[in-house]
Amino acid sequence: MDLGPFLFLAFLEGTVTAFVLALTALGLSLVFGVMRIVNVAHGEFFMLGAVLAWVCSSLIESSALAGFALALFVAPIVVGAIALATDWGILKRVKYNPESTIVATIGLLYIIQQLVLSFYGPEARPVAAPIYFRVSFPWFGYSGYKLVVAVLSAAVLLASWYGISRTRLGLYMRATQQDMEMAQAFGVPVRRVYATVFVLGAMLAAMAGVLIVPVQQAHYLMGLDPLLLSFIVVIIGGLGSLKGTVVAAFVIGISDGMISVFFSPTLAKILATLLVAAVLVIRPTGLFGEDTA
Amino acid sequence: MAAVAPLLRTRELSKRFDGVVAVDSVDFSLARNEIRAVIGPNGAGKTTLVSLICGRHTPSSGQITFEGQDITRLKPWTRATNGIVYTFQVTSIYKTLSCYENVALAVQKAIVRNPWSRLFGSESKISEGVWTALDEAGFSGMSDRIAGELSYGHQRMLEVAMTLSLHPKLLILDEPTQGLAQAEIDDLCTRVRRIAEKVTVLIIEHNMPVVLDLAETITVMDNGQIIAEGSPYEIENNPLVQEAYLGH
Amino acid sequence: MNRRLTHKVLLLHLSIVAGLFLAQFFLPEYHHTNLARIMVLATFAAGYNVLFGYTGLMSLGHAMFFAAGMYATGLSVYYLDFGALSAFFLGIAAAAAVAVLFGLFALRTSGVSFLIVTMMFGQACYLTILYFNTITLGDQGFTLSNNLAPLEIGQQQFAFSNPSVKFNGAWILFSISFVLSMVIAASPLGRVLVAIRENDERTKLLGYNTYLYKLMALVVSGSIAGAAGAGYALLFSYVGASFAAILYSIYPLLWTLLGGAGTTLGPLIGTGTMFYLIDIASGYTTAYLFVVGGSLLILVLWFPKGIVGSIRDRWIKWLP
Repeated sequence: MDLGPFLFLAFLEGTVTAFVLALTALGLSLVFGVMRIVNVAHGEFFMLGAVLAWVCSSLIESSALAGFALALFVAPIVVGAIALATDWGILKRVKYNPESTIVATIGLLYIIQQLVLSFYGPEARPVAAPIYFRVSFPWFGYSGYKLVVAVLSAAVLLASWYGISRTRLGLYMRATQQDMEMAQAFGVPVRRVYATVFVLGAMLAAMAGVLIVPVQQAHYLMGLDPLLLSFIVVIIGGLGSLKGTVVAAFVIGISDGMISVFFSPTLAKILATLLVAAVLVIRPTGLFGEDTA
Repeated sequence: MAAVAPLLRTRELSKRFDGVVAVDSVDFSLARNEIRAVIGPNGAGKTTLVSLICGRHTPSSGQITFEGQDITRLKPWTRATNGIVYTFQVTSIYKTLSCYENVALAVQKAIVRNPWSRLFGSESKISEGVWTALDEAGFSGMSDRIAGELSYGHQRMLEVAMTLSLHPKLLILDEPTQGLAQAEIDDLCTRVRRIAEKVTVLIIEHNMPVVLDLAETITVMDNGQIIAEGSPYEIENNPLVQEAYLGH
Repeated sequence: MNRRLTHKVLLLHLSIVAGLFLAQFFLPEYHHTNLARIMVLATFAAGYNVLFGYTGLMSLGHAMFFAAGMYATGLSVYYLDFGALSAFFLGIAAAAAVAVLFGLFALRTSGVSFLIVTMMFGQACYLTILYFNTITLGDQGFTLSNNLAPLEIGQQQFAFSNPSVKFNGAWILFSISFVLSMVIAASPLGRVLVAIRENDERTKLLGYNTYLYKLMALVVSGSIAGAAGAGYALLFSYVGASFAAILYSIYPLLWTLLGGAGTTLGPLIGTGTMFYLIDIASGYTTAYLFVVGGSLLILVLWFPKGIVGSIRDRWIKWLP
């Protein structure tokens, strides 16, 4: 195969990665932007989505499509419920202190991992794609489901954009992000906005997990990579900004796809981290827009 | 202008935050050993101006000289070491540490120079300085108290004690009387006057009686610019000032 | 509360050092080996504590310093037939170098961003070790027992396979880090580090170059962690990528929090307690991650000062 088709394949792979990454990172970014906390267990929400997708598909073995549809519905709800419990039982109690939150969500990360390990097991399990067709290009055939992933992710991103910029909840979120105390003074129910954002962020991650599982298999340790890639995306894209998140997800996703195809996925992740180092050097205080004197 | 070179001078100093001009091309100078007050309505740019002087913010344009040296690009810690010392608008001591530790941090700054003595020794010398400073500020017997548990007035005094232990040449007091009772204010004024025998004092203050009592020269700011400067008498009778600030 | 090196403090620390030394003559074999391991890991935690406990900088990537020490020592023994001592010092130097390089980048950020950056760099280090698996042998790792010559001091030979050499090696390593922590905590340097922890901005305006102090704390912290990694490789004769994985960045945080951040005794107490908690739990279940995760949650929610920190608050105020 010539270089051209090879590049095209890498580009396709990168695009699919980018869409899923954008979903995952958006959840992290919203939580960070609005609540000023970092959810280290975000990757585990992603993993739970994937594992729940496997559970749903094994419940309805007759039809992959029905199992997938069920998962798209069940996984976000279950994960959202876990997130709600986390917000109420842990985050509220530590008063959303950034450091305590991080320690607590690390604790949550290991508890979720252990639960999945104990009940689901250490194997990586495949889930059949809900629809199977191949798009044939002149040089190679390509899994049609991956394109479906891209389309579905784009749809969810569009819905998120609508939610953030056109609804009352979105207005509340933006107000809280700008100035929490001011928002509270103007009657924004900040507590409820926090809970909602945390739950929505977790649901986005779970949905990304459901979408990716027919491509990637479900495994209890699969959450770490999306977490770190999301961090990179959030650092480059800026906090709570949907546009920044999507753009950064594409930069990272496509370069990740390219380097993975031509060299190795490991090298791709090392390089992405170095890219972050470069961002830090260029705009040390701009990162997350924190104030430093 | 006085024949003696000023201690501090700013030239066309400006600071913009996201398009808002907080300090607008300010030329400002301070003579040695004077007490200067800067007044002006809220948002006039007083705190931003002193933040530029002590290095908490970097200016958007313009120049600052201190003792004839250009300090525009110096880091805040270098400026503090050179003698520009700032006290915060809201009391800023280490609330979880004892009074002793608070003052010790200021005292050792002047004593401990090389890295080795940062690790070993010199504690007895530091200790001596701390006790002197605590005694002078009237804190003897309170050295082990946690600073955050002191009354507000005492916290303010502790901060002043820390500040003086740094041996400043220019002392910037940002609203020092805020939250103090009248007796504490009188005490503070006496102290400031005594400090000013050796040190140049720049004071930002809303309390007009204190300003009129302490300051030899008053600078009035509005909208990021200096709109008047003069003796307390001149300022009181300046129609521009009355319109902008005194509200007559 | 004047953190000075009083006789009381000195006596306490020296008697703990002496007590640990004497323990080897009384402990049964199983706990003898455990204590040796605990002391090496507590050294790692003591290093972590300099940065987190005293300077207030939480790192989620300290495994990179531990691994830097471990691999520099291990690889130099494995491939270059270095002696134990030169390999050990190479390990410390490597960790210090990684700390300087990392600090120059990461300390440009603060707060939450610093945390994320430490985590990402830690992971990048782990991936780098995996990427060069032809040299590092990746996840499998390698043992040093065939390559490591016994340490010769004068006429004496010390073979690292000897349990008594393991124990005393670990004891020396820990004692140095422990006494160093005490000296730092009581010094003017320690005072500035605590000041940075409590209020960075204020400390700047007192005239301290806080960036430089933080870099210094990071390098000291990283070097101690690296010494622990180097010591682990030599004493337990194994080098593997799992020691660079994220769990080994979380462990020192957990140990330090449990023992009490910002106390000299905390790292030892925390490491020992957690070691035996997991040890006991593994008698009942293989699900040891529950212990790790659960402990973190409990500490954050109900016990933020840790064991020694709570003792200091309630009873013994002079603990450094």
